[in-house]
Amino acid sequence: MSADFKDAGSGVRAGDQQRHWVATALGIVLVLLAAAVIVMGVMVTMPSEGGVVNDLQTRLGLIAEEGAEEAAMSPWQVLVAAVIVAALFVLLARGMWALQNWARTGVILMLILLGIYFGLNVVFGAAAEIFGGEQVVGLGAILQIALKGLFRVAATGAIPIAIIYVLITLGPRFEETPGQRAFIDRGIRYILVATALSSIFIVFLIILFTAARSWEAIRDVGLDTMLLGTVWRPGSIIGTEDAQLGLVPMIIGSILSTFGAALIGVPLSIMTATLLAEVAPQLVREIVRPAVELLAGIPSVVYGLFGMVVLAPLIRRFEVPGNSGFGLLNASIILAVMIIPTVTNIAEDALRAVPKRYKEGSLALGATHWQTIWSVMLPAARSGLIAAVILGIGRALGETMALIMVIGNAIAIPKPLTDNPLTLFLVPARTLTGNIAVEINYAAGAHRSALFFTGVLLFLMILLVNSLARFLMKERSV
Amino acid sequence: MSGAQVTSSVAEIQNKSVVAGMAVGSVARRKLSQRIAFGFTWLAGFLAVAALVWIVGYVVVQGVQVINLEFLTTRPAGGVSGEGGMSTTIVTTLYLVVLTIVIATPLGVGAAIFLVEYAGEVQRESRLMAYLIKIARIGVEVLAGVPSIIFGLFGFALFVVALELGFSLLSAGLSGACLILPVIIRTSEEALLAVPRSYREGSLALGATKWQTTVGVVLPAAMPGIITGVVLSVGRIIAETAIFWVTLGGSYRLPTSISHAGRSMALHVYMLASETRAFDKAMGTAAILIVTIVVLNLIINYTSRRLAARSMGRGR
Amino acid sequence: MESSKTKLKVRSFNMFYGDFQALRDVTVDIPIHRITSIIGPSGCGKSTFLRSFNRMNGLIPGTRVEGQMLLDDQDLYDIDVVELRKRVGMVFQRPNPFPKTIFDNVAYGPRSHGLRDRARLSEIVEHSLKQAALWDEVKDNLDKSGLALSGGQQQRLCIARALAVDPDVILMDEPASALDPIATLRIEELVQTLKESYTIVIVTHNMQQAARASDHTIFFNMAEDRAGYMVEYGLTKEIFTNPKHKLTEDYITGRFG
Repeated sequence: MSADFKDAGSGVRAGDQQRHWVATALGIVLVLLAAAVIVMGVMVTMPSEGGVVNDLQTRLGLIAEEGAEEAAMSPWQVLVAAVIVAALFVLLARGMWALQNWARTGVILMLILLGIYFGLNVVFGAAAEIFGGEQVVGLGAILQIALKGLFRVAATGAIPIAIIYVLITLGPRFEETPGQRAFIDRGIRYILVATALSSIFIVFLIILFTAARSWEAIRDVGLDTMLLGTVWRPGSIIGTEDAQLGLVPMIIGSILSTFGAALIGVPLSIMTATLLAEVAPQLVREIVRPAVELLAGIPSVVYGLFGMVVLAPLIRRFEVPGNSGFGLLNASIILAVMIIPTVTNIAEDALRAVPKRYKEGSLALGATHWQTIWSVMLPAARSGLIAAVILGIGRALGETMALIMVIGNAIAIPKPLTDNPLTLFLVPARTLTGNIAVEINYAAGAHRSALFFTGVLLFLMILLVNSLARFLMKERSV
Repeated sequence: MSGAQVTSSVAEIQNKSVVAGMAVGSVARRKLSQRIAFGFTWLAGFLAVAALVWIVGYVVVQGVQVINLEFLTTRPAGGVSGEGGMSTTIVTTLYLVVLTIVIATPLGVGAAIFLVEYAGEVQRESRLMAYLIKIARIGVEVLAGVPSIIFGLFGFALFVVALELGFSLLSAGLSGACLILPVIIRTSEEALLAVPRSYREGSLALGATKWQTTVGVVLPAAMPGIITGVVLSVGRIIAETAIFWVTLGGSYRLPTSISHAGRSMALHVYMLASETRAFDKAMGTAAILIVTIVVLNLIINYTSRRLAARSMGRGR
Repeated sequence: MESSKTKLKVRSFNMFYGDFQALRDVTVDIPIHRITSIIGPSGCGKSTFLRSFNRMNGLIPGTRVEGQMLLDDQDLYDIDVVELRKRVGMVFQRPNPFPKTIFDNVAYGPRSHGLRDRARLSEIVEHSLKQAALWDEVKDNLDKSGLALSGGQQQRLCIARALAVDPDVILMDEPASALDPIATLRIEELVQTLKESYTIVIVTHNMQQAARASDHTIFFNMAEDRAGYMVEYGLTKEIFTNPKHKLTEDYITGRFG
């Protein structure tokens, strides 16, 4: 009995099994394909007049397009590629004949990739037919096109799918030595290391590219001009004037809009957090919390649209000359709503993290629930609350699209419209983020470089803000 | 706050009432201030919900008036008029979502698997690797905080210009993948960490290799959490604008390959609102956007609740 | 009946976690087709010793061993660890079935080792579940989740799972301590039937269980420096009626531990 099952664990050796005819056939097909690839490779490197070969040459980029001096690909490149592909096919064929598992996996993967490629073509084509036109396409026509597409997929896909199916069911007949398995294990480990390091790689690339692009501005315009200059007139559009690239108006715009957002949003969020953590019953929590989370998911353009269409007319009601409805007030309100989810979430966590014994101790001494919250819990959660505010500020600093739509995008330093300093908020402004978004598409030279510099500046500011918040949150848990 | 501080805090409260001299009245007064304070918190919560309802409600109500089959299946006419439908933007958004997910998910899940399952032993084997892994973790944190316009700028500099991919689905997809990578890594890491150690031990004791254990036991158990992260990222991509504004271009035509430019739904809303006067169409597009996001959020809520039930209810 | 064949030989075995010595100089023979129980007070290294047989201690960083452990006269620290665990299986203290179907739980081991033929897998699953005395209860429900079984059933499922890879030795780390008395009894009966085909080493803190259910017993104790060492071993009958060391007698009569 023991002996019987001992064999079951180690798989079946290829020598014991008859080579299945499918594996043999596939091997032969692969060798033929390899030969075909070599032949085609040789043929396209030779000049030809018309017909199929010419078609192929154009497809591969061997023929220079109109206006180009050289072809995109040289004949040697094509030949080398053909040889590599053919070698791969031969390797797979030999693996097939030896009933090796890696060959089976390789062929299945290849067929899947081919299938995806052709499938995508069909999808793109069908989508273009249905959605790309100017006329309405009725439901009947949509169904027709969809069916046609499915039919194409089924017809061309039938054979590959059959092959994949047979290969999968034939699985037991293929062998995999422990040596191969160990090799795969190690290979996978290397791949995983690479993916883990990809995040640093990307950060590194971001810093590299944005910093590199901003170097021109730093060198030609100067850090002091950009950071202290109060006029932003790129001049690259005008052409004759010297460009003046001072970022101060935008820095002030960012600061004021963030400040306004915090003024409105922070108290609101902390009180909501208190509501969720301490005051509200379960039922209300189940309504308010999802609502707050949903606020986080709403696209910023929708906020911007709302600000344009609803808030602007409302703000215009303030009878102040120069009030267009677009400006810092509009931006502050919209931004405040956008940071509510962030601040509320973290503030609520901070409140919930206050040790129960503090709350119980206070209540046991006869304080009311609110007194407990105000005098004991909120102070105890202080670092978490500050972290929440800081993260909200970071979020506000990074917002772009919604702000462009409601803040007016004026390039002057905001100044109050009348004697009343509060009218400062009715003034249009521009933020650092908005500056980048609005001008990047047509900026060039030093102008563009200055925009990249703005990006670097923003990156550093937000890095600072986030590190501060994270430091505070860690400190709390100690 | 220490226990002593708590006591002194409360003593202060009590002292005030003692000094006021009215033992009973002070309770009533404290209760009144509590009611007022709580009233403010209720007001805050109400305002938050009201803001949501107002914004979503207004946009959806306004937008629904524009939506019909023609709007959904004809393409925008381009130019200043803002005429036409939004068909191509829907499909482009779909392409974009699929592309970013396909790029970012293997990278992100792979990184998470490494950080949770393999990092321990690798760290011990080599000090260089331990250092790199620590930096990788910081890298993820940094990436998570970068605002999307910076990703857009980066994507523009690297993919559109330097790699000469131009404004295209590919540039936008690669940039978008960078944006959601930290989200996927974080949620996948959490999901993998939540798998009990006993599963791994049991599998190894049966003679499975580490990779077999990861693929056969750990990943399947962590799948719901990982999928939640992916769905979250889908929502993020659909809602994003700034990053695609500078990498996708703004063409209203339907891209027929990944090297073509296009316009996502969110971009369409922006361009309609800022370049044309067609606010009604903008509202229509925005309404579709919001509905999509709400549905996605519901899916996320549903799966995370099922997750919680499964880990608490049965087995261990 | 005396067994002349030794399945596992331990010679001067020491184990260290970094600088801390967990096991000191253990020398013992584990006979084939018998149940050997390991008893001793908490923290004396019983589980550590058990886990040395299938090298699960290697999962903790910084472990180091000296001395030898031989499986059929082969040093098991020289064999490939994956191969080792095919021959030495383990059942844990708390049942840990995978969140898969009952069938997939039991089939997991053979599948990992490369067996994919569905028919043979079904045979193995049925055979293992029968050996674990679980077949009749689940044979119509093989597609149910393993987590849906009761605690005792889950543990029998884990035993079936370990049996499915057809090991020579089964290590059990207090397999019934997390179960109710009735389930415990069933596990004990099960272990008795298993010894005909397998070598069983079982750690238990329940002395009555060791006394009535095992053939050989090893008694471990903790030294002053917290290292575990073996006090004595031999036939269970003799250890419990006629112990050679005073320590053993003290432990058995409940004077400490």
